[in-house]
Amino acid sequence: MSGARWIVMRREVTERLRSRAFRIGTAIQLAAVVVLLVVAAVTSGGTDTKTVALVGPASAPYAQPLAAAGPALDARIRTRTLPDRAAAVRAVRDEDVDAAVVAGREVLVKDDARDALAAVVQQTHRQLALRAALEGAGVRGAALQRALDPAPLTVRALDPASADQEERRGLAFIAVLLLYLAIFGYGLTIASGVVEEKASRVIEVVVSAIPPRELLAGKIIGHGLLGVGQFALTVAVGVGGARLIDAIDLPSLTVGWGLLVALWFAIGYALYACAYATGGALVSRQEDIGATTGALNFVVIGAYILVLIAIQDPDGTLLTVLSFAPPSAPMAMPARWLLTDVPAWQLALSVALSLAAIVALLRLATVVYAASALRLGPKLSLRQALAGRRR
Amino acid sequence: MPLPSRAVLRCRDLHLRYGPVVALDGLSLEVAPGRMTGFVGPNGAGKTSTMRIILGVLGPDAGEVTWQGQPLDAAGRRRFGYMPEERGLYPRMRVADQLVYLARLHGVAPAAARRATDALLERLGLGDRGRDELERLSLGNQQRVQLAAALVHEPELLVLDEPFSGLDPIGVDVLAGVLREEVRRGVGVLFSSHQLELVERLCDTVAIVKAGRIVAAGEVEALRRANRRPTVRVAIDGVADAGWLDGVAGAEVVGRAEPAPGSGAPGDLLVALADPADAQRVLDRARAAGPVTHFSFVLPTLAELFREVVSEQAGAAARAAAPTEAAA
Repeated sequence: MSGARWIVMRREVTERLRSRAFRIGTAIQLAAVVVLLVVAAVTSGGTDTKTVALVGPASAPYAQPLAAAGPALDARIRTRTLPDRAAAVRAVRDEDVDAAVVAGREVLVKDDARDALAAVVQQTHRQLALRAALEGAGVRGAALQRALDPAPLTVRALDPASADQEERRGLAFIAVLLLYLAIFGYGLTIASGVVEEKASRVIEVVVSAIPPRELLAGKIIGHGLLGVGQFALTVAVGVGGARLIDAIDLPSLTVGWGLLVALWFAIGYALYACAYATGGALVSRQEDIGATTGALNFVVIGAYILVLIAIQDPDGTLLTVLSFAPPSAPMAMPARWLLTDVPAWQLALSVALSLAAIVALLRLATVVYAASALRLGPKLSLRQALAGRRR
Repeated sequence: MPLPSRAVLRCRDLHLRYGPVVALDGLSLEVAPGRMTGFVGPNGAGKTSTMRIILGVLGPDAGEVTWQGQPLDAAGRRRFGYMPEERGLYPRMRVADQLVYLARLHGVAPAAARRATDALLERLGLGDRGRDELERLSLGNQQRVQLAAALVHEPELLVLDEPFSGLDPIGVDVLAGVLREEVRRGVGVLFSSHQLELVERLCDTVAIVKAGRIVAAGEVEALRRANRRPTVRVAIDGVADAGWLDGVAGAEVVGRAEPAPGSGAPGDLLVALADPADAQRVLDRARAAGPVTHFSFVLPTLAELFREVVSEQAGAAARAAAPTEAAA
């Protein structure tokens, strides 16, 4: 009766949606995202503004070129006039201004002599000196303009794909982090969901009506949908909110990338859902879950850390290997895909390996669950569960 | 000791081991439709294992279960109702939702499942509790819901593991009433119990299991009369010993009845006879010995029968341990 798993799935979804714990959990997650967004908005608040104090008439010509140099520093540079050097020293000390130019001869900064802003002031100084020299030599008008502001050199990237490497690295990092959080956040939920029937002893009534495999399949699908749904909602609120308040720069994503990451997210989630379900199938009390899922947590953390390290060298052996091993592939492969050129066959092979691992884990979970469904009591080892499966 | 041939559920030669422990050792059992069958035996004799095998929750090492002459399959089992020894439903789920869900798992269509749930809750006196979460109900009412879970899909066979344990007398009456109704509808009922007076009161047939095999099975009345000499209980005012019985052919003292509490006197004599007709001669002798204050035929109760069949030294001594009266 293939319909049984859908009946089970519907129960899982409706009961979880009805449960207060789930609702509160969702609300807390959304609230956390909103708080993060607000904090991000308050602290970053868009582009940096730097203020440079100008002292004396000799410093006045700095105002216009400094303002024009802002974009090079990724900032807006404002200038203000102060009456004397003492006032400038005070202002720099009190961090009222970021730097001060005194009488066109001296730059004051708080503690870092090699401050980027100081370098910009130096650059401006050279430009002003050059201008004065050129004007002294009788260069005027358009010729002066050409000399001071020549047509820029054409920049030709030798490897255009890696032009936005930093953006891509950031994206990969976020994708890996999200998947890691999802696996960790929902793995235990799935494990404890699988224990529910055994813990409440309703298992016998249920498996007298339907096979354990249908019960397990319905539970994994139901919890999986809920987890993905809750996670998608959280991400949507986060991304939507970030766009709205302009807190982060989201690099333009192609649809293909998005779909690929989503595909890997689904694969990774399913893989670990089955693994955690196996952990849940081995115990009959919620308290025992930690004992069987602990090792799994290590695998997740290990895979996460390794992938984070490997991302630093997108063409390295480590990331390549990790992108094929099922436990790490869901994190490593999309990262690799974003950072470097991955042959299509490698992608296909990696997907196939992970899918095979999912099928194998689902089988394992089912066998273990069926074998241990009525072993109400202390937790079983995997070996014991498999040995007892003929029943 | 076969039951009538209309029996629809048959367990044949079931064997089951848990590691070194033999749980079932060639157990055979039949459950007839429209009859209540009591399943009794000491703890660990194999009652729960048998029921789990019938419901397919457990697979036997050997032996088979047939239903209406065919090997029992999942579709057949879905028409059974089961109350396991390990009670339990979803504690946080609403009572009615829970019953509808279980009916759906047994293949009942959604609308029919809701109708059956409402009717059943009404019948069990829980009509107004359908929207409550199970854990908010008293234990007695939770037990009723557990029964409802076994009945909600209108099963053709009920298998109930210790359904009466933990019920107060009113709960017992409600459950007994419901089971009688089901039996009247033609449902076969198999239930295990340690409350033997209850089994005696409710059941048409009984199966006694010991160490994984059936040691006695059949109609309760027939079992009480089977394989035993007719026995009378005699009390003569002022005469405690059995000397008056000397020389009565075919009569043998097999023991004494339990004396009334606090009386201090030895219990009444129990005399086994070779033939029921000998009773008159025994009575004549007794009257000659003194004023007879008590004379009756006795049959063992189910509890006594149980002790007899189950105890290691099943025999005359045990049989006569403490019979009480039956209409002679």
